[in-house]
Amino acid sequence: MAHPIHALDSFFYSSMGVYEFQTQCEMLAELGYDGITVSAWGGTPLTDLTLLPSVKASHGLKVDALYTVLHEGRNDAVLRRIVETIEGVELIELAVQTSVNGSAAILGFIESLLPIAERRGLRIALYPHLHHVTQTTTEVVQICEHFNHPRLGASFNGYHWYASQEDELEKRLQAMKPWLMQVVTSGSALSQLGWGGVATMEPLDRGEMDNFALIAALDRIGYAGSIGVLGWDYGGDIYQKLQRCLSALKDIDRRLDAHPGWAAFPLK
Amino acid sequence: MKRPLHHMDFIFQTALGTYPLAAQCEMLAELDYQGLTMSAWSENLKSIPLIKPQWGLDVGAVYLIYRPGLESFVTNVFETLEGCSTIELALHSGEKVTDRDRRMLEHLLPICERRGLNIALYPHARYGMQTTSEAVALCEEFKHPCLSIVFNGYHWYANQEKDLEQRLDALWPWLNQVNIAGCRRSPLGWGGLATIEPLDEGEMDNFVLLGALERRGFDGRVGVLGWESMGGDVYGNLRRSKIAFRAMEQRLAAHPEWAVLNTLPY
Repeated sequence: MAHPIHALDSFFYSSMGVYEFQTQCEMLAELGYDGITVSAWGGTPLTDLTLLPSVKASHGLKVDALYTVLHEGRNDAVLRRIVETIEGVELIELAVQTSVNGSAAILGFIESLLPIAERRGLRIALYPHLHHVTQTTTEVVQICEHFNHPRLGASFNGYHWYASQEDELEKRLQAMKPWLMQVVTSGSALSQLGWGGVATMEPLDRGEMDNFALIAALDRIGYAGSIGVLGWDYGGDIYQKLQRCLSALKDIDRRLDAHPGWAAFPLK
Repeated sequence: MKRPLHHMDFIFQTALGTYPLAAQCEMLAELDYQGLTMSAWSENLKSIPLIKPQWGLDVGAVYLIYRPGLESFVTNVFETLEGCSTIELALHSGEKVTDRDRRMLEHLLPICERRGLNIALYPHARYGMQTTSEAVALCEEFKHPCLSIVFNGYHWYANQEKDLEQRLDALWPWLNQVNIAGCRRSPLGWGGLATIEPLDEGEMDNFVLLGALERRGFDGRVGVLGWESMGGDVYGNLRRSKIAFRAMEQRLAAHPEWAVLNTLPY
């Protein structure tokens, strides 16, 4: 099926600097992307978050998510304040990078967000991230099951699933299915020269991981939401790399519609 | 503006051999390049005057390295070169710029005056003259109208000189030509520093680099750097770089403001 496609704003970072948010939106709109995920990181966003409510009207783009990073025991209050005040976005992606006080404190923080999410009409999607406290899909699914709250779910990131070598894609996606709120992917190959010394992040027409098979597996569990393109540190002429990614994803969707049988093989 | 696009001939010197001059020029002409930079070690130096009439290509420069022991070779190139007026000169007489380099320049500049040549200093990673700052210092020291600088985006990036705007401001009075490449810092790249790739690959943002040059009014030719580590089908790599360059050029004309970046806080 044809998925909406969005880009993560970290695509626009390179060793040479970061593109203006307006330029990010203009490029994505011109290329035909449907949306953008904006990063608030651990509370020090590079984008003025007050601009988010005007992105749709100005550029025709949806703000698909606000990406946040918890350092439990260090920035809890800062992130909570962002969730309390953010406008122009409905989905908060939350990666848990570090923790001072351990699992109970992390769960306590997540619990504290749920009434805010209820009151403000937000959803929280836990974001598994290599080399973070919550690294695997299995770990975030356990947290979702623990709370079993309609406003709490999970993001599936193809890159981090692949890089953390969780394997068993069908099984992981089946486990995530009740909680799945967002999907992000990337071209990737296992390599010590890649991110974290584990795996490269590359445009979607590159890498060893088969995004065709991955998106087919997502289609099989009925995921119809947006697919995000992860960009980090591969930089270059950003516009052309975004163009390649969009073209690769659209072609995957087209091929899956035309030839569903091509992806009908058992995954390892 | 559609600016002249050249390619350095290193791309034709692959691990499998060197393409003959006719093949080099036919490929470049067919792909709509406007010229080439020829390496001084090429067997084709004497054929330079034939290139424009036969293939319509300009030889924008000859690339030459000075190392101790090469004085006669270097002098001979300067004394005999025909059909090209610019020599891109890398200096490698020691760990940094030395008096040997200065003596060589003192020797070469009168030849330039007499023969109508220009020297464009070529900062080169892992050579004695590595950085744009060192090239600027030499230009300021000599203050000679035949002495200028070729800015090579690859070596600026590989050297991690950073501060692009500041570097370009400093070398602007001396800027003669520009070379670029797709590149990424990597221990697997040239000199263990950075890869040399077609313009549609790499981490360095050539769109931003070209924008910074455009804002300063640079309207000269741009040369693309290729090296054997790039590998693969040379024609395919040339085509990719040409397409990427023209796409960046067109986008820059439509949206010059897109190429102005903010500094990252880390």
